[in-house]
Amino acid sequence: MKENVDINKELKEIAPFLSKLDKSKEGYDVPFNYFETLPDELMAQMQPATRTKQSATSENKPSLLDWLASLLQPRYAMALATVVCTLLIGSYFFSSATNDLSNSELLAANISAADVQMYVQDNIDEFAFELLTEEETVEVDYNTMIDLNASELQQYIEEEVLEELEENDFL
Amino acid sequence: MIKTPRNTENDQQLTNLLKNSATVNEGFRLLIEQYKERLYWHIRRLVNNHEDTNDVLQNVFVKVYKNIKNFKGTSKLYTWLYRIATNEAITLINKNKKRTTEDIDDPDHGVAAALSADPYFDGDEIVLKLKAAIEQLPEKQKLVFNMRYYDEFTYKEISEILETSVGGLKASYHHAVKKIEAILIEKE
Repeated sequence: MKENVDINKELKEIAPFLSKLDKSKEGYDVPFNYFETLPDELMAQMQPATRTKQSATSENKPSLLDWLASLLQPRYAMALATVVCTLLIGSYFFSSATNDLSNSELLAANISAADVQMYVQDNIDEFAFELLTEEETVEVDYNTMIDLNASELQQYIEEEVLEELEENDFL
Repeated sequence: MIKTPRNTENDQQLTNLLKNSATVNEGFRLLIEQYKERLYWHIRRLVNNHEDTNDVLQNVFVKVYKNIKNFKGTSKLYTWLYRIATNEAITLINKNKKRTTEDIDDPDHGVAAALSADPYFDGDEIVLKLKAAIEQLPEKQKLVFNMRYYDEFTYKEISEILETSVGGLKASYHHAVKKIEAILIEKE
């Protein structure tokens, strides 16, 4: 009470006109029942926050079903589908490559050394020089491959080798 | 007009309820009941219209609810509440200032026109003049004037809420009252 008296006395001294105004009539109004409904409105606003807090603390360990259900959410489902597709495509290509390899191995098992030599001889141009000179890679039996007598060899040299050398301007 | 009876004993009980997770909702409802009108009028005098006041008041209570755990109790509960309310109201005023272009030649015209058009304002001519005069004050003087003139806070209480010196507040209030008196007499 003393505080109010002090405030009014102070006001009267500084501002006599202002001190005469009825300050209880401020002119402000509020919607009908505003203050009556405000607490419920505010409490309703707080409830979701409370529930979220509670659920966050009580369900710290989600069950397997929750975890599986979470995988069905769009963002996880897309990622999961991508991973599954990649794995399927990858496994398909891997198995195809494996089949090819086993086929070629099977094929090699049925070919004799003589057939291989024949093939190499017929397609000698297709093999790189380095490959042919690698002893371990290509084993060539010169005795069986070049079955020439001295005159045939002489003829070969004259016809083939000398001709080649001439073409290359070595002679 | 709602006066501001400060019942610190009651505030202490409220704080205890709010700090306990088992009683926080009960405490919060009591807090709303106890402070809804006081804080509403404090904010309304600063922002003037009901819609903005309602927005600010709701923000204040949401902030209180979220931050009650951080309330150390070093200041009084009502001091803390009024400080939050004041800060929120000033934040909204500054936001509105940036949005609207005010009439430089007649700065009180905007407030008077807005209040006249406000369905939740039915003040007479002298009240309108007083509100327009208050609006011409610098922010701090307006705040101090409202808290002293309408809320009837002591200087000490205002200094605790605004965290400023009593001497500075007395000077602000005297300046504010003198300016308002001069404006009102001039317009009579």
